[in-house]
Amino acid sequence: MKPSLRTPHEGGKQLEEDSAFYQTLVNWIHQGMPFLQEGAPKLTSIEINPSGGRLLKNTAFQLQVIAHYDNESMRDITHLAEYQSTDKDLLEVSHEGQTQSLDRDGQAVVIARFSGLIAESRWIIPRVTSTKDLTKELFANLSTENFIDTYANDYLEKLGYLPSDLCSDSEFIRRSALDATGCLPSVEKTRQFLSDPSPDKRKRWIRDLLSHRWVGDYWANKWTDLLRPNPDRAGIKSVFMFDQWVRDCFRNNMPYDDFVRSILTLEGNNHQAGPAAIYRDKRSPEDRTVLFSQVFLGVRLECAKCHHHPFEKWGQEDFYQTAAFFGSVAQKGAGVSPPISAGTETFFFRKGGEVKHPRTEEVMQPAPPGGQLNNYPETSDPRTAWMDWMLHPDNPYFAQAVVNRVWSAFFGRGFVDPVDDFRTSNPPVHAPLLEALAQDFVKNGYNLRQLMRRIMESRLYQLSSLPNESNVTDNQYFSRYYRKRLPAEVLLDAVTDITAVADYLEGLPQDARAIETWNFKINSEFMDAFDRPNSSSDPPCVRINQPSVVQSLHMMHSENLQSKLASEKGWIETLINSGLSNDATVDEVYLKLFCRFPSDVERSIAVSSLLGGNARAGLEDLVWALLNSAEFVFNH
Amino acid sequence: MSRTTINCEGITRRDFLQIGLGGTMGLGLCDLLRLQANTQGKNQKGSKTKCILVWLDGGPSHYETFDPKPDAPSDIRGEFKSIPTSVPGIHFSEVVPNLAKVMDKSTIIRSICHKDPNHGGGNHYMMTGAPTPVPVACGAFVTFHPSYGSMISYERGIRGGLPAYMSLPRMSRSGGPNFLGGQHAPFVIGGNPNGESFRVRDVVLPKSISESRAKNRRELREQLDRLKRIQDPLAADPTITFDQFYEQGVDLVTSPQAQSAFDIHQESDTIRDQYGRNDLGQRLLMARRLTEVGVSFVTVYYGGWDNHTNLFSRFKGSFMSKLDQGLASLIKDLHDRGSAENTMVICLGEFGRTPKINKDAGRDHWPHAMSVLMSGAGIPGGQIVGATDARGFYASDNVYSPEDFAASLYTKMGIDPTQTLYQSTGRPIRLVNGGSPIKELFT
Repeated sequence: MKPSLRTPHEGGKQLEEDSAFYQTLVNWIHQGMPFLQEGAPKLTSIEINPSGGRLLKNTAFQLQVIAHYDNESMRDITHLAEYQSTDKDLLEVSHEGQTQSLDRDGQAVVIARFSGLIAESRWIIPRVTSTKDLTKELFANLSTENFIDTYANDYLEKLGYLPSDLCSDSEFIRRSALDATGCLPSVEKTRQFLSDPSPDKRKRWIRDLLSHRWVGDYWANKWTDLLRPNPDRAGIKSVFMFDQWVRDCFRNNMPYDDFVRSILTLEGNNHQAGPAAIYRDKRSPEDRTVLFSQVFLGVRLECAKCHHHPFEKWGQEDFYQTAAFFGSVAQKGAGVSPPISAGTETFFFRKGGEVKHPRTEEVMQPAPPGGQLNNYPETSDPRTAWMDWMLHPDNPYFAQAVVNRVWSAFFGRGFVDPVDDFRTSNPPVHAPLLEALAQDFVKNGYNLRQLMRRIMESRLYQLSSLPNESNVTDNQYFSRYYRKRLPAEVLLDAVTDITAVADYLEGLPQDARAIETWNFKINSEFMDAFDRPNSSSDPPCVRINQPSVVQSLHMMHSENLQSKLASEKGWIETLINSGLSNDATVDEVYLKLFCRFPSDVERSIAVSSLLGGNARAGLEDLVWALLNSAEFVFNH
Repeated sequence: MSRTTINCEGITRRDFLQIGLGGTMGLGLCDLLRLQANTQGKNQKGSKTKCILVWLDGGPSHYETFDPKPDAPSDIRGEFKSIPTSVPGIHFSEVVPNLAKVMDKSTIIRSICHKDPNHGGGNHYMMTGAPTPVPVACGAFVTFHPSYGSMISYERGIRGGLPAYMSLPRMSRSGGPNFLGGQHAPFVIGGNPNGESFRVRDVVLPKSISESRAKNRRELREQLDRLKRIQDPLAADPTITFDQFYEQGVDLVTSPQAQSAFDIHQESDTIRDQYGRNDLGQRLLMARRLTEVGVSFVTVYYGGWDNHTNLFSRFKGSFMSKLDQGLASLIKDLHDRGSAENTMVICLGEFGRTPKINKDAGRDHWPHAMSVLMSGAGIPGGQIVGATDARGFYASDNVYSPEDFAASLYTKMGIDPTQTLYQSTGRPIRLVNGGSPIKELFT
């Protein structure tokens, strides 16, 4: 009834009433819905041909899908399999597996599904059909800083995108400082860097960045965004404890595996142990499974809680056997009592807790999704086994998931995107590079700052955001740097640093930075305009970094920003009283906001704005104009 | 395409919202670009109907407003008498005499009810049309579903540089966008428009900046904003949309029509007096002015209705008379100006109050009966929809759910309540799950 839309269905119309599939279902129902046929051979795998390669534009071909059974028989199921293209602008596929590349370049995968199994056919469709304009030599002559570039150049060559030029020194220091620390570089450091002639100065700059005071807080936010509960639900003190704990971990560059282990094997109470707040918030094994698999494995199991994942291999079995890892977490003490929730609650391992499959009511043995686990003693916490499985060298997910997240923080998108949606039907770009980076990360002891260094040292990260002729259409293969609007906290801190007038942030020390805020209830029209995660919302951690009119209006007209510009205690006042020449003043402004000296044209326009009689107002207007420029609001 | 994040670092959530997981499978570059071009509202045309929603936070008593029970025993009836309205046979409580006079222009629904007696849950249900999936206690701020205003913002987007959804003087606790994303959160206008120095924030120039100085600033910005824009649409440079919003901001501050709308002092003293020279009265007047300049949905938040104690003494005072005077004036004013046809006024809270008066002369939470006032946008005047039983315990005739209410509101606003939205995980969510428009509002 539902699939044919005779009764409402959120999934839309899936079946025509006169189709053969519809009739098959009706017949099956009439036969009493037999689940398995006695002695029928069991399906073991499906295979798709051809399985991929390089494909020219505007080319048609037929896919073939073969089913393999446990009695070694095979069957052509091309007409029974379902097909989907991961990018229908590149590659179209019909219900019968007839495939056609279109007039576009990029990577596309056709997924064939049959009876819960998946096979994929991966294609790279290059931008050019001949190599006339992009010769092999052009790519061979590209310089490489580390293995990232080797892999990336190879992949980009296949696609036919020549990487953009290297970005300027000014762009590099502004970009890397904002991406790694969430702060603009100081004028002094900027001057030093720009005048430094040594060839290895970018490397030294990166090394310095990674010991910058705010790097820990800035990166802690990326995880608190994902994990921090609503203080109204879990309790203010619990959430504060949690927040401070995450900050400590990242300030000390705790190895990532230790960080995750501290959360996944937590024992303790919410007023002493930081991660307890997560358990206080996500109270059931099922809720913990959804959160932890999404954050730490980049796998969305939530669909499989109630039914087989619509595009994946995950079934309810996978979900509940994973949930069983958290079945033996017991709690005692005061539970949640919103909105205060001030009680103390202790979480600990107690053997014997169980998780049942909701349909079969079978008690589930703990096992990872899609896998099996050897028996382990009932007296040990199954969460330890889960952690071991996560870290096992054969586990494809754990290291790749975090590498993908960190990558996306620098490049604006992940190899897999969305970053927490690893699945066959959402394949990574630059797959070999992702694998290599993950291996390197593991080899370096799950050291996040080391990973950040690798990324920032690559030439790929240091490419200009301006495209060349070959890569203007590239939005996902990283052949240039993609411009990003600065996040709310970073932008607010930048405005504060520039004007030297801080916002009042309720409940935080007087000189606190926006990246130190930990509660969405700390009022800030600025951060609301530029979007910050709101843990009262479920799901909580959604940040939109698109521009909006509310943002423009706020930057242009807010009384608050104007009062910062006009403040007698602010930077503009200091600059006016500094006795600097107009030229030098303009240099200061440009170095502070853009990390560069103005061009001659810019300098003359800017200086003339200071000459109108009221230099104080002129300087305010100049800073206003630059704060409202794309060069300030974006990382580029 | 701007590098928007999802679950903190991924594809634009909007891509999911509009295409859904099914679409994401085959989400092509062109789709992404189309989405990008369309980031601020998917339906720029659509209906012109505006809505002013007066939110009585805390849950107003139905007895002491629109559903008096003069024949009930005194421990239920309460201290107040009922009075006739402008429509024969319909009675209100004596503390809303001005609203009684505009009954001929209003519909009162006396039969909306639900089962959530907590402020948190009730707020959510009545502000979004969706119940909370887990119990939500009284003080909690939570959202699981987009609010009406956010959905209207999502559908209509920015018009004339103006956010579609505004809220005065704060947002209601479930008035947020949830998965629709931060740009559909209400634009909150704090402050008291009854004060001499009141200014609407951000849409007018800062006090100390003259128009000529603002013009100088913008000229300077135009000359100095030299970051090269990547014009090829396939490059999807986010600075291009940044420029569009900047231009809209400029249009807004340079439009005399828009600027006068934000200036409540342009209103005649007579009208200002009619609304009441107090915070609520002037907010309601401001709300009318905002809808006239193109804002689609304005919430006027008026809290203080959780009257567990001393309900009667409070209702005798200015707390009630401000609402009575201001809301009645708004309804009358909209009719006088001929704008009632395309401006819907709604007044409600999260639930009604208990029939039995408690020992502290108050009433407690009671979701089984409540009254909702609606006016304008083709809603018939002089109409009572449904009823509660003789003593006001339960909605008894023509019972409607919050989902029916939500479906009605969206239908009036030209939005299909049966449409499916997509959460960031790709999960499909019905805008209104079940429910159908309340037919009496559409006759």
